[in-house]
Amino acid sequence: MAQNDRINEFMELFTRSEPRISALVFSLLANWADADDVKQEINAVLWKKFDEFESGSNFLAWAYAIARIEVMRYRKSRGRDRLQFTDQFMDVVCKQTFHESDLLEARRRSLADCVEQLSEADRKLIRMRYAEGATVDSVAEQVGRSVDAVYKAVMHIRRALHRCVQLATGAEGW
Amino acid sequence: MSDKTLISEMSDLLDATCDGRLDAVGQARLDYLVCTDLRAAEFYVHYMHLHDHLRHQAFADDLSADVSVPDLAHAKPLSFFSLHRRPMRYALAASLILMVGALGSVMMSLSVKQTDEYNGIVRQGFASLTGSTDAVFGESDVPTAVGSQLPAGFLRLRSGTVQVEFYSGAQVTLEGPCEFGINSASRGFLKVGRIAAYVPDKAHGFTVGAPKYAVVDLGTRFIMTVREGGDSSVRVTEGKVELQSGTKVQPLTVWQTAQVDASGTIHDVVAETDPALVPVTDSLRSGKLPAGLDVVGDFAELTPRGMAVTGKGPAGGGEKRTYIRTVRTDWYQTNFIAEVTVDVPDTTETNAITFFGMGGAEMTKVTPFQEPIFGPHVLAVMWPGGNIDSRIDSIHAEGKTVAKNLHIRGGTHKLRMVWDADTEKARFELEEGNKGVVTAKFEIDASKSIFNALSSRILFGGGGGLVFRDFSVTPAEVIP
Repeated sequence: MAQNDRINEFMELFTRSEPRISALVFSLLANWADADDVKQEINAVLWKKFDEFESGSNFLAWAYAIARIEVMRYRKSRGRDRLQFTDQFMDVVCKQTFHESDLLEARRRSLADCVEQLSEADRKLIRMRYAEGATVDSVAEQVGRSVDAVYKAVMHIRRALHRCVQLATGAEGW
Repeated sequence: MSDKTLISEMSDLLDATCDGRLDAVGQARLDYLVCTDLRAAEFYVHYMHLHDHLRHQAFADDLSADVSVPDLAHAKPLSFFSLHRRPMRYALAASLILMVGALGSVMMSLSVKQTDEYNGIVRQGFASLTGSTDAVFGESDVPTAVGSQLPAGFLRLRSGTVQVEFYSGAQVTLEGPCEFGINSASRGFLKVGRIAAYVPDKAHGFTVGAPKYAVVDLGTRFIMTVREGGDSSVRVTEGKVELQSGTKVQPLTVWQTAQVDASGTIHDVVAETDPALVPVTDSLRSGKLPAGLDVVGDFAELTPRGMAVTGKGPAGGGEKRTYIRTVRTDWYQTNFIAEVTVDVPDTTETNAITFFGMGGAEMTKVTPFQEPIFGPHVLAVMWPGGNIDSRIDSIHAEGKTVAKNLHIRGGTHKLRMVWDADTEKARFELEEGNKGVVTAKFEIDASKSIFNALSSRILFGGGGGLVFRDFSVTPAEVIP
């Protein structure tokens, strides 16, 4: 296969799988800064090892396995300088993510519709909260409300979105 | 830990995680819950994925002006990542989203192992198909044999009934035609058709999704119908559920029924009195069928004498049978006494067979005889003999002759069924001439019929020439 074809194949597979890989990595680390670091490594390894990937087989399963290895490697490199989940926790989350892969993808696809169902004020607030680099503190400063008030407001919106996505998942079947 | 308690604690821990407020104690607790409780693991993964997708995807449209696609043909492979900007990534994802289905089907066919937290058994999938009655399946994503373990996928039932037990403990009965999906051990999806769900304490929070809304069970029983076109209804027969439509939540308590339109808008939450406390009584002579009854068959006419079956022809289904049945479908759970009066023609010109009893009251789809024997049933079937003095000559039930040589002439007769819900035995009585004297009496043990909340209507009917009236069902605390 020509190099350009191989790049295109990788691009297609990677682009389809990347949101799921990203979410798995975040689920394992529960910290965006760490997740962003390790994702860069994972992306590089995926491409580097892509020659070992057999066309037509399950790219996502292969990518999940690599992501898990890289997260474990990253955790080891960080040592005990921050809180970490147990290895058993990592196993459970990996298995659950893999088992529910289709459902999780359906949930992801439904999220934008659920955001649309929010009131304008809620949508604006949640957009600010999830803007690049934003924190609850920075949003509170922007909107002139207490940190605690923003924390609670975001929490309520996020839980409503969670419920909405549950419904939308059903509407899409999986 | 109850679902409610678990969800509350997990929600607090996860929100703290999302907003960087989780301390060491909280993290240890979260770790423990996820490692020891499948529900917590599922919740954790769902919530963390949502949080990550909110960051990366949900507002991608706002950033669409920022899209830039690198020239990969001239780029070194690794430069893809250095050029890789979020908006481009998701724009590409959107353009390729249709291809996800193929990968999805691969994933769906993979074996899914779950450890049953209640007894330690490792199981495949999310549920078991525990029973079926006259089930005819369409092309289903999951196995359809009784005893099969069910992974994620759709069951497509053309007719009959099927019982599915989720590993969370929730039990769902499907009535064909029905298309029902298994999403996880605690979640199903009703695309079209009708189901009855029983959710024991340990499975609280069990959810059935439907197009545009979902029913979250807070403990107990409900019946849910989704019609072609998307209109649907939910009726709670015990306990409480929540209807969730978009960001709206509508609680629904026992004996409330909600209508939901195809857009997910909840209308007409109607409260009814516990039907177990209300007798169903109707003379059938008002010219109008009461709300609690409906008709199966094309040959019924409500006349001043009662509900007349108007078909004509030889016995064996040729007399064009028609049946009246209760709308309520879960009588098997209640002790009751049902009575109906029937006029049997005093002539040999017709040979109508009379049916009376309890069952799904669907006409059979596998024989041409128009018998209401589709699904579990307990029925008294009264046959005429060949002479004018034997318009009811024998009674059949469960494939056996339970009374014969009765020599009952045509006229007005009363039929009675006494149902004992505890022992699942039915006693039938026939009063010849409606004079208060029992002419024939027999008992049927129906404990092997496996009635369910969708299949136990009370029904009566039969062939052309019969006229039924004065129907009543009286719930009874103690069977006389």
